Amino acid sequence: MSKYRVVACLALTIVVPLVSACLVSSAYAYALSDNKQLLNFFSFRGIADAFRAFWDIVGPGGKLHPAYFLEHKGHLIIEGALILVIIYLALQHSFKVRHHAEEPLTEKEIDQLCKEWSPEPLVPSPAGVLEPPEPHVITGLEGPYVYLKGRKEKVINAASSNYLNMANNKENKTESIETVNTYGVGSCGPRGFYGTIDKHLILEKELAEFYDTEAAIIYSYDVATIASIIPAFANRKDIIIYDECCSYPIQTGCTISRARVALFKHNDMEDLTRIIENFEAEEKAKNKPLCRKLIVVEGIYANYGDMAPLKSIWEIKNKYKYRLMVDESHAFGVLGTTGRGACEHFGLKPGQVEIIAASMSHAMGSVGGFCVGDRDIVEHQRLSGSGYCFSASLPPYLAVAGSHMLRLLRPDKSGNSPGKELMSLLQKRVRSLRDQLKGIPGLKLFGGAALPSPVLHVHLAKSSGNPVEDQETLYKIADHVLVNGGVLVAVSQYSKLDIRRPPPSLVIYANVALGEKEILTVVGALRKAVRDVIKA
Amino acid sequence: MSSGDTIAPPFFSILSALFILSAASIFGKIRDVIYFLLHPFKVKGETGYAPIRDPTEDFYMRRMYGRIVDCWNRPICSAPTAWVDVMKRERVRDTTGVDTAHIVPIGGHTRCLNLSSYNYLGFAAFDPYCTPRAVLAIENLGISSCSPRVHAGTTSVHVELEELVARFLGVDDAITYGMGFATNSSTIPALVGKGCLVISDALNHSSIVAGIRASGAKVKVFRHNDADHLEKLLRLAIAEGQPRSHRPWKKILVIVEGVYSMEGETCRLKEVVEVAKKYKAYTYLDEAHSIGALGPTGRGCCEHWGVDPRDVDIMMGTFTKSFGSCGGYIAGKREVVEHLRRHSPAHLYACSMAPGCVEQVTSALHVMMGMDGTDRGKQKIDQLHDNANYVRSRLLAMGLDVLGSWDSPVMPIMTYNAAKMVAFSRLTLARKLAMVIVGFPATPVLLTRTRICISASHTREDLDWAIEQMEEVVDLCMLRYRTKALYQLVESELKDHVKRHFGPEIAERATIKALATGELDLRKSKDLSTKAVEGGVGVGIGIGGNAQQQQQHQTQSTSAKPKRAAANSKAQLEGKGPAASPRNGETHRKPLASVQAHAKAFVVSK
Repeated sequence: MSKYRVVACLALTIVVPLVSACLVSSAYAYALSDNKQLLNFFSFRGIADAFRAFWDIVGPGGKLHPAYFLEHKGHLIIEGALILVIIYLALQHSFKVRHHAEEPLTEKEIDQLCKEWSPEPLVPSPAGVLEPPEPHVITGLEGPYVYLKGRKEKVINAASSNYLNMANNKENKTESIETVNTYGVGSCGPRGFYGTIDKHLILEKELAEFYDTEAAIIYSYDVATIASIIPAFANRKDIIIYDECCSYPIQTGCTISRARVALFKHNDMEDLTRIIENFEAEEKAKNKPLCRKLIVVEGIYANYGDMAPLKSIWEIKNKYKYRLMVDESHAFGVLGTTGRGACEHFGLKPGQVEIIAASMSHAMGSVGGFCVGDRDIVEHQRLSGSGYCFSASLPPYLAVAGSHMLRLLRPDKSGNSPGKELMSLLQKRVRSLRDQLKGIPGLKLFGGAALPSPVLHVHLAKSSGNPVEDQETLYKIADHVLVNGGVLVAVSQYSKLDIRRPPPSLVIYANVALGEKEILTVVGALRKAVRDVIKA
Repeated sequence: MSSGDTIAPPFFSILSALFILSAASIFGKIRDVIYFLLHPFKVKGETGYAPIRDPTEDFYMRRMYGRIVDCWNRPICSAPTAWVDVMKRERVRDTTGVDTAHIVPIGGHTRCLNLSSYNYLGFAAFDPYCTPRAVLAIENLGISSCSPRVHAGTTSVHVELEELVARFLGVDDAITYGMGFATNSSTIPALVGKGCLVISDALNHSSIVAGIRASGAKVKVFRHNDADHLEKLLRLAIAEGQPRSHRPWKKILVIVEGVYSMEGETCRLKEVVEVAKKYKAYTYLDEAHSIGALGPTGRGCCEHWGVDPRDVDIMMGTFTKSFGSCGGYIAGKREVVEHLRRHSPAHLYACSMAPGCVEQVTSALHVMMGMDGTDRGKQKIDQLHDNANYVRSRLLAMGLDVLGSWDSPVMPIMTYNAAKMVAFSRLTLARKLAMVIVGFPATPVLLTRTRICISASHTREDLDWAIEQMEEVVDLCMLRYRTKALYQLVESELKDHVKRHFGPEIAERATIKALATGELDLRKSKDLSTKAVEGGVGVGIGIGGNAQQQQQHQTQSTSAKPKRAAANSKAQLEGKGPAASPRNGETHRKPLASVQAHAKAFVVSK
């Protein structure tokens, strides 16, 4: 800065005297040329004359007046100067005062840095972390029993969410095998590129009819279903509110969408209202345009086994004009009079919930997922649901298995259907399982005995306070149950990616194939295992 | 070859494409205005809710995509093998008028040559070895296990498949998932997170993008297949560290694909792995399209380029394509796979892969590895490469601008103009070719293309017939965009390719023309130059010779079921089969003959 100041001062000290000298001498010359009296600076009149003479030159009409200068091509000089200024400014990178950039790294320095950098290992070392036991390998099925590798006698399978026993249904298998024989196994292409097989269209139509909605869409995998649907309906500008106990697919869907996300306390309607009102106030204050708003809940929470109070959620959603999305994975084919799931259970009519999604790998006994809703909702996913567009479609035989289950649930003219009987049988099993599991000392059944949910999470009654220790105890119990009681139960396992790890639990799924006798065995084995393990 | 970034449409086609697009959008706007004038008070959707789609997207859906909706999602009602039954559809008049176009099947179907399914090795349809085994698995283990792998979803077939995949790829261990998309989108978050950097190829698949987004890692994109740019980015990234905080990155993961599905190009794996190794970055190779399709024994991109699979940290691939099933795998070092078994959400929460699908993959792998006691696997992969190179050379000789590398079964043909793309799709369907077209938003607006996927179940007659049909369409659409420079470039690539795989003597004779006319038969030369290959690439080549060439008709293409063949001849009687088209005159007999050959082969092998 100081350099500039010095230059400016120098310029001033040179230019100002020069100009004034110039002016005075020219005034002199003018006066002389008129043969007037020599200017006398020492009298008042003389000074006045000098001023007048000066004014004649500099004032309007004078030769040094700007107007004279401009009229005689002087404007060209000024314009030229202005152009130079513009060019100079245009050549500047920015008009901001630039800080001196640090000197860029030399190639040598970068080489050195690259040499010095040592990355973390690709995966953290497993030392010190509780090693989950190897999963049991199933080698065969027989009703509710499975054969495990390394064990001669069959064991009861209480770890599959095969609620209606569709996956082992004989007719269903025959149909699937027929489909495999004619269509092959895979579909070898995404839906857009000749991967749409008539079996898919049939299943979609049947699903839409079953749910009494305009359309349905099927995905080829359960975790990819919701994780693709949510990003199709929300982006940066939009709002998603979901229950804090929602499972991983919903969490990842929200992350991928990059929407503004908020979590409400599990099944706490006041908290939901509070969060919505916060959002409303914020939107109003900033005067933002209307954005898409979504509430996401699960009909039956996979990680807890309890249900969302859909009726009150629907009322709130309707009041604040949010769209509601319900993950019916565990409730579909289980709850409601026709098996439509938790929405029906709570008396919501088709169409009242905008987006219903579910996995096909539970009651349906297949693999994959689906979503039902208005045509707008569904057609939008066909172009925007990344798991739909960019993935190979469902193997046709799995779609056929889905259709088979829906056909069973469809009521005949008298309103009865084989599926309905299966569902009431399942409810009976759930009640009896829940009733008996509730009474086991040392264990605590989440949600209590009255829940109609077929997902049973059993926690330790007295937690040690350390989830890893609890987990270890549960592994021991599960092992004991298998070895001594001949029952396969699951121990919940959560990824480090889950935002919230539910407390460790034993997971038991009700199943129509598990008869009263088997339920007694399950409960007896558990009771014994808890006694032995916790005492030991 | 001209890569995704550097494809330059000719100037005139840019003009015409822009003209077509603006015309379509102007007419769309006019129609919207007219609709509004006719129904001034009609409001779409409930009040108080923001529309599902934003207005621009909505306009695109209704007025642009709606016009050409018939070119995609064409349903089929047969196995996606060499010939498929494409169902006839019709546009339904929309009652509301503002909705997206609705198009529904009306019954009936046309038998078309399938140039679109990812059925590279021909395992899609009934296979005498695989299908009975898959059926047995369904019978023994049920349709689905209805349980994640960690609960009760691990069956004996899963364990077997994981061992087999690891052995096939030559790595320690593997883990399988029920869907290819989910394999990427759930594995990447389990490997990288905050403070990590992902350097991803510009043309990587959407599942990779989803995985990166879900992981929370920072991402940088390098120019497609450009290892120099990758190196530049890596150096800069390591030197500068994380943005703002300038802390060093925790780890850097380089993600590439083996064969890019929309470009058909193979990844320059050797260079990428070298660069990544030099800078201690980890590599993630997505072999969705290359596994089973590349390399002399179908072991994918590593085998194709002679890279040790142990140098690639994570090998990902899918079973959807070459193996005719569904699902995907991650293979690599034991500790990586163990980590995924503990933390990958798709392993912990998702239903395990259906046993039937698992067994299909296992048996397909058996065939590929020769464990079924025949050399069908070898025949299949040879046939695939032979078919792919033959079609590529024919298309290039025809003057089409074809993308992709030699041996790659994916070959996109540039159309550069949305209208030409659509015309091409409709005209080829009318000539009984089922082909895929790709336009905006999957590709840039001006780089629309049509894509051929070659399968080992195509016979030479099928392909000759297809090319003959295509030639007419190409003339109608004026698609001969190939320049002389491109031709020379591709030819030099061919010479390189042949030199690497067949030795220098044959490379001298290798020209596109020789391939197209059949003067150069690489399959025959392969056997002659086995020694050269063993010296050059170090991959042993099994038996296989001219004698098998004749048998090949019978052993290789058994994927057609007799039922299909019968259906075909029945359809022909009813005037629905390929013979029905009066325009085709003589040509129809050839494809039909091939189907009959398939049927005969099936009976023989039974």
